[in-house]
Amino acid sequence: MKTTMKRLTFILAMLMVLTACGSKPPAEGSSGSGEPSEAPLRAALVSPQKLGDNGVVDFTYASLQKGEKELGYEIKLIECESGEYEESIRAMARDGYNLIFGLFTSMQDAISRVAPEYPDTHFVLMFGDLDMKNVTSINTKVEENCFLNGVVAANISTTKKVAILAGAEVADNLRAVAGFEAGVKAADPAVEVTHMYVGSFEDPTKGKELANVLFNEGYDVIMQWCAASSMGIREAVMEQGDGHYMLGSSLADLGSVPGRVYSSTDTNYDAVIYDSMKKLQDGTLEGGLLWLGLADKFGGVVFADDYDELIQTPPELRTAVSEFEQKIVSGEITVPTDPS
Amino acid sequence: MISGAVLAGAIQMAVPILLCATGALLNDRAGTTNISMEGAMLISAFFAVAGSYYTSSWAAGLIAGVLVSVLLSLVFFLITQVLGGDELIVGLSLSILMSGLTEFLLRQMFGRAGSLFSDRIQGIPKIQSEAFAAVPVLGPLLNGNTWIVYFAYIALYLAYLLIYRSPFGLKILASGEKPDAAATVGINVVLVRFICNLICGVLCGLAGVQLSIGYLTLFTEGMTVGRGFIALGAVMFCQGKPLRLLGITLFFGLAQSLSNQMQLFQLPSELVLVIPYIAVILLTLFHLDKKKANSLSG
Amino acid sequence: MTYAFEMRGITKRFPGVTANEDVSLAVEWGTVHGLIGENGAGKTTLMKILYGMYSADKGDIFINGEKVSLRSPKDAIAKGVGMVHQHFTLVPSLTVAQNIILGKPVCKWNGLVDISKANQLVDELSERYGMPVKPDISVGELPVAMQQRVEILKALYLGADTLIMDEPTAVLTPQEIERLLETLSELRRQGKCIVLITHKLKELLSVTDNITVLRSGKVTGRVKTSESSEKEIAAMMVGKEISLEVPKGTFSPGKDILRVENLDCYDRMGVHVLKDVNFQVREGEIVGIAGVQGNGQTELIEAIAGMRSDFSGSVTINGKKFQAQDTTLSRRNAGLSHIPEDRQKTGAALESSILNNFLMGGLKNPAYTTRHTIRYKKAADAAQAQLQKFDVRYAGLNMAAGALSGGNLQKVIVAREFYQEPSVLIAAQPSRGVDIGATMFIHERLIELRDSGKAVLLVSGELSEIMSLSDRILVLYNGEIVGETTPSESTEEDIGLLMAGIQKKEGCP
Repeated sequence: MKTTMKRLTFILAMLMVLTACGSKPPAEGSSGSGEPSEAPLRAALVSPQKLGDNGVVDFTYASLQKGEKELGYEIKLIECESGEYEESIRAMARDGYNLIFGLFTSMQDAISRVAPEYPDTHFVLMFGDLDMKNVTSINTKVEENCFLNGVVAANISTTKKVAILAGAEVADNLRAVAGFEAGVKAADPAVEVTHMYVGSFEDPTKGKELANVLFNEGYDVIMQWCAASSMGIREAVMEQGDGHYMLGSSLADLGSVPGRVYSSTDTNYDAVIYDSMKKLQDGTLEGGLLWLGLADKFGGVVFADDYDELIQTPPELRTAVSEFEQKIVSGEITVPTDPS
Repeated sequence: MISGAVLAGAIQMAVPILLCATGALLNDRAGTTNISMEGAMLISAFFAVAGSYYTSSWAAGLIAGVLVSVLLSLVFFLITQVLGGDELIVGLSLSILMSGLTEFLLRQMFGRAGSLFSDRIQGIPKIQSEAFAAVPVLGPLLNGNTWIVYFAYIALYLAYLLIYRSPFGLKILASGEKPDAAATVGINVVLVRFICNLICGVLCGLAGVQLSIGYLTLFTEGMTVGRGFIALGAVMFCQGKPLRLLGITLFFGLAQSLSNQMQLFQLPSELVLVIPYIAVILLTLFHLDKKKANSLSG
Repeated sequence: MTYAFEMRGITKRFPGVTANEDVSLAVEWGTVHGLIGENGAGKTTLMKILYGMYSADKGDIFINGEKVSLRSPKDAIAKGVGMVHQHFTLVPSLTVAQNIILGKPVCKWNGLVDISKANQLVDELSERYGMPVKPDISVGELPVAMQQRVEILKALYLGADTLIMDEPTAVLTPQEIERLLETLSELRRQGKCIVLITHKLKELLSVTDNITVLRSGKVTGRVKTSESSEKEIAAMMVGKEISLEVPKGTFSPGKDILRVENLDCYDRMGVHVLKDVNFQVREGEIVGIAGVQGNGQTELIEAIAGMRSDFSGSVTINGKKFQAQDTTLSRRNAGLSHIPEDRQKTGAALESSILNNFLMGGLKNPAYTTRHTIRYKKAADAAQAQLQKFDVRYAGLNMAAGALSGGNLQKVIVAREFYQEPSVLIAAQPSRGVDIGATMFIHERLIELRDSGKAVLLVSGELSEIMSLSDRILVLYNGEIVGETTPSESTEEDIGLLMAGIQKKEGCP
């Protein structure tokens, strides 16, 4: 009996291994990306982080849903773990999705491998630098927005110590840090600025711990660039009381803690997602590398006044920020992208 | 660098691990290994938030969280002690199950994903007392904690009394070291383990509650970040000595707190964040040749 | 007259075997009753029923005239029955006192254990029954004989008036056995009732008042000790007349097969456990190493068999010289076989099947292996044939070895070692924990081996075994060979003195 079981298990295992090493299916492309089509277009969003981060994922998904409602797309969201990126993207392509969005640079590798196999499918990579016929890499000049927030920080700080708490030392985080620190220094060189990394975009406990460390060391303004981890910063800023501020990286941050969130950068993800969906429908979506910044009327800083009655931005501050914005658009100031 | 703030942080951060470890200590001495603690903490964190959300009362959240954890420990007990399942497999499966279950429930019950945060969630009040503040040196450490934090340390002491000084403790030790010996003197080994599992359930529940509505007021998927397994490791290393267990958990807490503080020095963040885990490895190295195989032998 | 206890018509069945069939037993107060039988005869099962660990399928139990129903040891303890098991049930890390009060702890007003009161109680108890022990030492640090005392005190503490002792002398030295028997006599004098389960005829006859013999679950004899003899009881145990002497062929030794030269060894704690040991075993000869356990026998065997690498000196097998680092396998291939002294730890893999245990160490045997595979069918046939030859009782070859009784497991190991057709066989404590029938069988096989011109090195703590089997006897004391003699030249007393280190024979290095 025992031996029969062993043999059966062995056969089963071999079968599983063979199926896993499956051969490539024939490339299923549906309607080419050149013409508008009759059947509903399908778009998928593949994200390495979970929904509910109050940041990129939430907003891109919201935009995707807008595309579903207004443009009649069929949509799908996949949240995947590291190691599954390529599988997930390939699965969507194989399944016949016309437009596949990949979030963040970590997806770049996966897209670079899958895209060539499916020339009729269009891929959009948020934050990356692939330049292929059917891949559009869209980057936002986050450093410019953060620069402006840095200006705000320098102005509202009383202890003259401000900080930015980012998620990890990866591409766009580094640019955010660089931009923020440059903005602080440009507004007031006497202000001390520092940065920390939470190590995760989904760990609010750690976010709170680090925020408290900063606050205890006398920093009184913290900008967040760490998605879900920023939930912890909100709690810290609330517990620390008056005189402590958080600056956000998404509009949802505004008004979240009454009297404490002064401003936030605004990244219009609609411009990326919804626009791409529309372009695909119109047949005008092209591959290539895109950088969107203040000059493209993309981004900026929003003050909390409309969201939080406790915040009243003095007009001088608005002017100051506006002036810096002009300088960036005109090219007078180039915002660094490297925090060193 | 070792300031009051760091020490305060250490004591705070050690708490969930300490609570779980105390529960695990009891189980370990009684002869069972409950690896589902990670899952227990996670599910109780979730239900604590859920309970508080629906009733806007932290007490309801606390009770909900603890009850769920106790329930889970009962399930574990049933499958392993009564039905004879393998502890490692069952424990691990339950932990994985809880991870998936919390994600599922989060979406089903609240329509959210990733995290649940809301004004409706009431957190456990933090204690600020002048009596504490007046204590020299330790003053700032003692304030600003929920009562669970104080309880965690008291619980360890109570566990020590229970195991090493009470008659029930003799039964626990006999059941763990030599269940045959215990059985022949008429000790109901299964009952002893049942009670220990129950207590562990309560303690893990408290740990989860502290995580979600004690320190923060929200739930994030996977927010336990392996603390249950660290607690298990701590119990393995302490070889049944409660004082050592205290030392080990405080060590972990300190490592975590220090790693946070050290970010101020602009060291590469990855290096700094890895400190607590290196601490575990160091601990392993120290104990490799002294490790006795009498408890938790795979 | 009220008996201390009475068991009437007890029947107990386990799946596949009837352990007790219609067994009746009645023991009076103030007597020592011997319960004897081969392994698997049902003695331990019967007593476990009396102790509440099993419940009988049929039959009644009366304790002190009162009919009782025992559902667990707790009930038995409540009725004054105590049991000292063959494998100790003590918790090594707890102290003597803690172990003793385990079943009924003494507490202070605050609910915590009262350690000083417990220690006091233990002192009182040990005084009363003449068994001195120190209450505050961890049991794990105590020597075996002391541990046994703690077990007895434990039963007495819980109020035992009837004391069941299961194979108590299996792990004791001759002196310790004497002390124990004295203790039992003292307990008898104080009016207790004692049941002594053993398979050692000599002890049985020396201390018991009455004897009940079990075979295959049934009672095959009830005698008054003073009116019976070893031979009679042995016959009742085995069911036929058995001779306790094994006939030997003529002694005509050949050349040296095993030679041990300048064997010297220190153990991990720096104790000098083997001091320049030299001897040889020739073809057609049985050399017996006599000595109390702990005088270097284990190290000696390990050095010869290749289980140990930290000694100096050499071991020569069949002309091939082996150094410390040479493997066990290379020695086996040279013609060495070994029946280890601990069959559960080094002799067999308890969780593995009988077949696999049989194949161990003989995987190159062409009878059932080709160059790369084991032909299981052939192996099973070979195993079956050999096991039958050695009269092993087992349910199936795929059964776990751990399910076998002690004697049968030993026979499997012996069968395995014999199958490899060795030139020299080391037999270490071959009859320890083995019943009379199996012991006689093993002895016959050893003699057979010697008669066919092979060499046997016998290491045993049982002097009678050494005396009846050996052609030459070497006494090992404190790591040294302190005497060499033959069974005809010396008496057991002479050798006993050497074993205790009292005398050293002239002419020995």
